[in-house]
Amino acid sequence: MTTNRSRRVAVMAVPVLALLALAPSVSAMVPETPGPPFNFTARAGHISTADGGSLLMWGYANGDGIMQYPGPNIVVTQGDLVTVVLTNQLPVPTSIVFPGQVEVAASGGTAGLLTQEAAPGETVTYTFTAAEAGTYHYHSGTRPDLQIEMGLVGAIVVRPQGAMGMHMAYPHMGAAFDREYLFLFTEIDPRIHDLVECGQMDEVDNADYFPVYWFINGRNAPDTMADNFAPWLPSQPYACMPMMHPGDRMLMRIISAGRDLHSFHTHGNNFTIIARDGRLLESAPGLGPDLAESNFTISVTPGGTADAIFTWTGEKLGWDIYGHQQDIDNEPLGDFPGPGDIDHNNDGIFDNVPMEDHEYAPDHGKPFPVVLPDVKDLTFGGMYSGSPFLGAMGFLPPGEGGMNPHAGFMYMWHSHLEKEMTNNDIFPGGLMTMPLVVPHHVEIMH
Amino acid sequence: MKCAKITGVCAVAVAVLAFQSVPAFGEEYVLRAEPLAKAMPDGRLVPMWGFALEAAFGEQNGEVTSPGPRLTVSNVDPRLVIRLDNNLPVPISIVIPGQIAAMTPVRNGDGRARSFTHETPPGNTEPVVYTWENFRPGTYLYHSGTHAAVQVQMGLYGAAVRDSDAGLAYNGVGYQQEALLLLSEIDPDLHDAVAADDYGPDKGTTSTIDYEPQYFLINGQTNDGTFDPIPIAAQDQPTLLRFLNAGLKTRAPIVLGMYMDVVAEDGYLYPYRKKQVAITLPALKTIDALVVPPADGIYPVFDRRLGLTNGKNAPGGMLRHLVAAAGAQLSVAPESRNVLNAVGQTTFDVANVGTGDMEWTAEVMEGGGWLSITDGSSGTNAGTITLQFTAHGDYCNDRTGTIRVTAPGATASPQDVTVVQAAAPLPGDANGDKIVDVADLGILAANYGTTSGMTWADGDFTGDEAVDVADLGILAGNYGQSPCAAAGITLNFDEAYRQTFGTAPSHLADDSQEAKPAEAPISAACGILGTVLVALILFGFFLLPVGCKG
Repeated sequence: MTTNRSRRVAVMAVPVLALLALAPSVSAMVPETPGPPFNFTARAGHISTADGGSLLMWGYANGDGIMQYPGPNIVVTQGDLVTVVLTNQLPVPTSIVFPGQVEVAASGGTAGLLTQEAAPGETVTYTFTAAEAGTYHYHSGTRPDLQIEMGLVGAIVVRPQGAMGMHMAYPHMGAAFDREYLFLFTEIDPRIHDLVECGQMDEVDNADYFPVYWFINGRNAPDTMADNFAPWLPSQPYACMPMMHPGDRMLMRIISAGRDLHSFHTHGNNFTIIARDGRLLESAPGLGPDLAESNFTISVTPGGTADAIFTWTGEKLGWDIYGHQQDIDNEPLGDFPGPGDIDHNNDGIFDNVPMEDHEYAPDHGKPFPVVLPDVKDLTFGGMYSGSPFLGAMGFLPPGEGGMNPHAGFMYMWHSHLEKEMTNNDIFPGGLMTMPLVVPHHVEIMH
Repeated sequence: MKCAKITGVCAVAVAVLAFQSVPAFGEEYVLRAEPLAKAMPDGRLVPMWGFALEAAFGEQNGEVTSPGPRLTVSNVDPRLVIRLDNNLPVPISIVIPGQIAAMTPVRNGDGRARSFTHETPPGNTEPVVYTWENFRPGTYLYHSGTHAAVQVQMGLYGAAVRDSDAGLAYNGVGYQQEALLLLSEIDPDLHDAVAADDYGPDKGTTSTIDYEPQYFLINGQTNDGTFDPIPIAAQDQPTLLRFLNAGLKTRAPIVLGMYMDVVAEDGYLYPYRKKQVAITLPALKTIDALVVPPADGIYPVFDRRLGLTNGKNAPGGMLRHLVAAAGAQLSVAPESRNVLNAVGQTTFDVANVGTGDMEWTAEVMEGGGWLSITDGSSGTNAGTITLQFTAHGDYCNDRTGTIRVTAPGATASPQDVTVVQAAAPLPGDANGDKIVDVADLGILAANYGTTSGMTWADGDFTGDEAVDVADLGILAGNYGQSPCAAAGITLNFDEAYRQTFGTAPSHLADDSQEAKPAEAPISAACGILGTVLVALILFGFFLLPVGCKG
């Protein structure tokens, strides 16, 4: 099982990297909606919960499409004039507000408490200039107590100008990333949706709000890990299954779109928060995220956003997850320590096995510290490759494993308010997903 | 020995300082605690406990509010003294988390602490004094330190602030204008239980464990559709927003249309400003943030944890408008009042929806003969103008009076508002076309004999809700009157009567009815005469042509 595959990987990696360089959209993993301008329709529809339930929702549809939860992603470039035309097909007035955007012009409809509102059947138009790069969101500005709950929320990503094809969240190298994912958190109290569906909207009691479903991008786990636009989730098009190579800078665009705080936890590794509410954590303009914070849980203020960079390398595991064979003493060749021999982990033993990109040198070649029990004494998950080493397959009994063809490393990220990992009292589910780290030679496609 | 000597020196120094601080220049407040009933937009009266600001102990005339009055400590003298007067049925106290004070806890007989510091007993005849010698600059909540689980949620809280220097909240945090946003919640069932002495061990409600607020307030006010705007500085000028959470749950104030530079938390300055649109504001937390509006206008602020209802009613809760305007801005509402023709009163509300202070005066520009200001001819910032008007005797024309409110230096000043008084109704003119004619008789006939629910427009000119002979008499007495326009009467009363009732009055003359000149006055006596005559008509003893010449 422990094999030295590094040379083979290196050979394969060259053409793959070349391909990556030619395809800048390969890591654009926040699905984009054509526009601006954007034509949205507020309308009713149903979503599926991962326990097999169905809930009435009010959401924004793209054009005359079906209701979706969350609404269509607005992905624009800094400086764009963004026009959103909202047509209301709900039985109640509705609207959109854009927290973090300044000087939003609204026309049509009638004046509400927060913005211009469209009565049923009416249209209202919002226009703003996406002045600053960042992660934002939009939601209903009419009865937000009810309409946010009903699903009238969506994500906004403003990409910086002048990134010259590089992946940058903000115009600074400290905000560069290799791939990005959206984490839009919401929660739902199904009693409210049942009351609205039964025409008893006035019976909704905001004071005894008690959610039992928690969502990332409008899906409960395990649906969070299904593909974007999975055909069996027509009203919930957006997935959240982060995939990365070791050492990738993965940008987490976190949006707290519901009303509750969710303590989101990335097991095993910290992330670095570089921005909040679409503004870099910097001590002065242009300095980059010099006030960035390293954390392993994050509770984003409801209505706020955060951008965090997560990187996985296997650092400090204490063994070599890349499966390099143990240090080789090259003395028998008579040229110890010969050219190309390196003592990676400073243990006095030199070898000529090169390190992986981003590999943590002190663990290079360190053996797996556990003697695996006999297969007869093991139970297997579908994601187990039969080997503890990244990208390596091992022996599996017939019918076991098979769902992780690249032998990636998969584990859990979730709300650490533990009950939020359920779907209406059924574990596991809720605000949870499983990131997948795959070897460098595996191309990540979305 | 060395230590003792130093201590002695220090003690002398302290004594000197203490001596020098008499007389005290620090802020001194007399607060009176008392129950109040707070009306919620849905009509529920919530029993609460609040504080009133008193000019002196024992005056008992300050208005009790919850949250209590804002206490401002001088930026020159750091001393704060509160003298407490307790009209509540229980002992209370005042603490200010984040401020250093000598604390002397009070314990129950079993040793459990009841109060974080010394108490003010109910009905105290002498003030109980609470002193903070060196009030740290910043934004703080004061609240009862006695049985806080009950007394804080009952409403015994308020804001206490001190600037580090004039116009400077903290070192380097200057502002043009400031606005306080004190967030609170009310669980009315808990309040009812406390007020009914049904709270405590072995009672209906034993604790606040089931705390479930129904009302969500900013500065003691829910959004009931007519909330007061919160003025902030004009375009490009900094305003300091002081957020305080006196409720028991975490709130998340969010501002639309601009960013907040969050500068301090719990009265402590951050090393760097945080640019945010929403802030997490846990219970007891205070957060200070600077906002600089990119343009004059309205910037909504609301709770993103969605405390946006009043009970089950929405919209409501924690939502207000920050209004950015250059300096003072005059608002007089409504633009116009329509009043009836009888003697009466009406009011207009004056407000300063901008920043700073505004002096204003009001005067009647037009209509001085019938309209006069009885109260509120001048004021500072908010106020009410009360006007009295006389009855209107003209049948033809409404009359309009104009009141001009002038606030020197304020935008939107002067502003004219109008009182429009309706013309007097012409007796007998049911359809309001200023002519008493066959059309009116037709209306009267259609309702003739109805004894309830009738109005002027139905032919009830006497106001007894019945259409009867008295009304017919009035109509007959004024038949043909068209005081406001050239006459357009084509039928005399006899013809009209015949067409309307199908029978002719026993009336011989057919040339007796002529349209009366517009200037013909109409008197009540005329109506009475008409009544008599019509009574005769109905009894078939018609004698004279009907008409009045006053």
